[in-house]
Amino acid sequence: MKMKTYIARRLGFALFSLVGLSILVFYLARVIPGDPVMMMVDPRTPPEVIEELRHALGLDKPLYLQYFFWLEDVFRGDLGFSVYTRRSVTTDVLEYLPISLELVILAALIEVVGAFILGVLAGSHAYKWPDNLVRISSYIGISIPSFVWAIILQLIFAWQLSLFPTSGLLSSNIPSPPRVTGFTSLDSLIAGRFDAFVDVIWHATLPAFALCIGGMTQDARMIRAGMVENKDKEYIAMATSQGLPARLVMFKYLLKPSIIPAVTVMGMDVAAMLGNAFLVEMVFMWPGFSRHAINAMYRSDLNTIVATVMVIGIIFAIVNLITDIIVAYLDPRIRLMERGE
Amino acid sequence: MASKIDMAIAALLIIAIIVPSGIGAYMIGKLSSIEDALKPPAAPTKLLRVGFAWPTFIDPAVGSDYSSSTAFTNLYDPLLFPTTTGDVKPWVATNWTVSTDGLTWTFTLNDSIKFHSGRPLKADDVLYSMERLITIGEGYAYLFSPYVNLTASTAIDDHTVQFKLDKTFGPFLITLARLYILDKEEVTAHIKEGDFAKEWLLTNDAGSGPYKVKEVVLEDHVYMERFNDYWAEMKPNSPDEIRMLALAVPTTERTMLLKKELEISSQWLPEEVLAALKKAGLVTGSHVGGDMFYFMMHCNKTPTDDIHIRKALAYAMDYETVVEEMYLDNPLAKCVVPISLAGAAELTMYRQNLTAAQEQLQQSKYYITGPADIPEIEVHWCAEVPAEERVAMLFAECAVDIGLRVKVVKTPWGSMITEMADQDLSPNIETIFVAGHYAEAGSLLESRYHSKSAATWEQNEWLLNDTIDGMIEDALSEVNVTKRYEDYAELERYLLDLCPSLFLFDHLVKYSYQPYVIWPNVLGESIPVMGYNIDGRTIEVVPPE
Repeated sequence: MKMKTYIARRLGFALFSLVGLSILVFYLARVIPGDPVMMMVDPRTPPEVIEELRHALGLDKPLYLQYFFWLEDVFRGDLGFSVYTRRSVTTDVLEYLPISLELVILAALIEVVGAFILGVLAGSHAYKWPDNLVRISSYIGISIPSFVWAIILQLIFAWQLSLFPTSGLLSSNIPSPPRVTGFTSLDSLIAGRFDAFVDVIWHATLPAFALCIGGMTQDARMIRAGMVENKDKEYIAMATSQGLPARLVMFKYLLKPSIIPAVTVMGMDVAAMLGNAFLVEMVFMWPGFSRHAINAMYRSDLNTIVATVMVIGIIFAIVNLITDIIVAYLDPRIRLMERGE
Repeated sequence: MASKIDMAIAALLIIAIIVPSGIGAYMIGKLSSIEDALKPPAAPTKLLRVGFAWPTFIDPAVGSDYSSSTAFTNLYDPLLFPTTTGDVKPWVATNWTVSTDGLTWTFTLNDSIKFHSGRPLKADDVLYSMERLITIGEGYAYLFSPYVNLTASTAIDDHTVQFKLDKTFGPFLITLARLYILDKEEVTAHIKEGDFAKEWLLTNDAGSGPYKVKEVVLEDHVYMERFNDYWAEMKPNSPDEIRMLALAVPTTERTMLLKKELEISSQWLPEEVLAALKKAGLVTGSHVGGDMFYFMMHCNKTPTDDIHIRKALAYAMDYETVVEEMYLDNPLAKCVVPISLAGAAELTMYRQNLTAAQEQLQQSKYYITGPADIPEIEVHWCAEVPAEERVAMLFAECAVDIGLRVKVVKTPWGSMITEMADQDLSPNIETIFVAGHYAEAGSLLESRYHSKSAATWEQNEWLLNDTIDGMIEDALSEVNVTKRYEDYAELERYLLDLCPSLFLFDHLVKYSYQPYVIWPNVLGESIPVMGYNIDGRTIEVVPPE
């Protein structure tokens, strides 16, 4: 019951933030330079056609009315018309979002597993060579931005070693599986097309690594720091002195409190990946949501800008909520604090 | 404790390796062999993969940019086909007649053309294509909408179509290279809520061209496969498939070219990448783009409203350095419009002459005690085209040499469009490439200098000059070609003397391509109409054994 209250409060905060975000983004998208209709048509298009398009897009109405109509449409599942792709924004979101999500999910998996392995390795060998190695790797991992990683990985593994494809979602000779969920890997499995499934994972590997190296190494450092800090705590000494097996002390009493800060950061990292993936998607020609969002911004595609920011905001809120729940589960003090105890 | 921890980590590592491998092995195990899983189906032997910048709209009533026009060339047949001289030759229309008043054009159609649907191409389809284009009003509609009278135009029989014009339009024949013929029945079958089938035509075609759509993923690629019933001649090694790929990062493009995953690069590769690829064995090719790089000078804003300031800047600019160090090998401008356009007269252009620049400066109304009296000149260059910055900086340096102050501002394309829509917001100078949409000088003269193009990104000059408007309109309405070209030449001389722009160079579009591609359009047989140079009819792909 207490946990339910905690979740409900978090959900309330998230909804409040999203409404605020929608107003802010809606306004900002409309004050950035670049007339979307002029960007859409040839400069020699007759003025009456331009006015007609402006009217059809509702751009001739006051800003507050535009927001009201947009909100009304959103509740009907219509995110508006894209002047960039010339079709419904909802269609675009449904097409591009799963493609980015499958990349982000793979990157998140690599980040979590990699961070635990590296963090525990460094924490359990503090001040020894594995720790130093992880530390140096972490500095490199954190300091190099993901798009540089993308180019480095592409040059080494795609060009020099030819172990991975240079770009794209599928090899040019692999036909796309029939669209069911929009997740190409999942659709491949549904269609029994294992060749396509293997091909998608093969194509996603380098961009996923490029996307998660920074976060993974940062999280590893945090886990390591937590372990080193907690190792000398009295409850660990007590557990060890009571003769509990080292493995139990390690995973139950030392690791659990040590990973809490890292879990929070991991959650943020994973949520931010979707928005930050655009350069990686561009380098690897991954036809995803982030690349689409940036292209739409260049074209002053108002409805797409608002929709993409809102989708990223919603995903951020969901991941944040999940992270809060995990942290609350791991750390009873947080639950108690929420209850004012 | 340490050894147990080591064991735990080792176990974790093993799990991390074994679990995904197990899943992979399970899936692969369902196949006859690992090779089957990883081996893609046999590739088409003659594949032409070309890099492009998105957007690519394959609906002829929507797109009008470079990549869309290239898609039209391969998916559709135009009523008339452009030639290397900028003229047109019979294509869907085999011959034509024009009435003595120049208002009625009658075309006889080739009766052996079939659409991709298998239906024969008829006069009704031609008429419908024109109606649809003008009614939607986008794409190349502006070429026809001021002239074509849709109500009076008719399909006389299955193979004869007649267009009536409201007023004479000299280049009408040439513009018909932009009238792409759609299968009326196919299009009308896909109309949804009165949308003229625009949504369907985003990812499908209704053409009769040498290629038909295989797959379109917006923002990513357009795959086209050969249409076996194509009526016109194709080269023996024409590609089986053409794939237009949306590329955005030069390093990716370079890697793809080196790995032979791309046959022809996009046209935006930097000079140093082109040079590196050439070193690696790829071929560099070029063709005229039909566009020119202009510094558009605001003629109604201090101090570029003064013709002497404009001429001083024109004489101060170091044109040679631009084409020798920045845009390598691009030919210096020979006219106020690209010399490749029919009707462009070769003129004596402004070249760097600092003495003449100083003389012009001293005649300026702003020059009272010295050049320091002259207000600062603001130059905006397009942030999305980094190479323009170097030219803008060179221009600033040249202006400093004659004592003028120049402020160079990096401006995103969206902001440029917005500021150029307002005479007060437009800066002194904008740096932009502008292309003609049909291969005649009148196209650019109208879009660059007619009052109706002020407030669009094609004119920052804000000339708003009735004399020029009249001269442009007279020239365009002239049906006699010789007389029309004379009118253009007179107008070009007039504009050069008025010096509303800096005419820098005719743009040479450069590509890097594989040695196994035979591409006559970059070997001296280029067509000066945007989109007609990547044409599956003429390109051959002969991959090495």
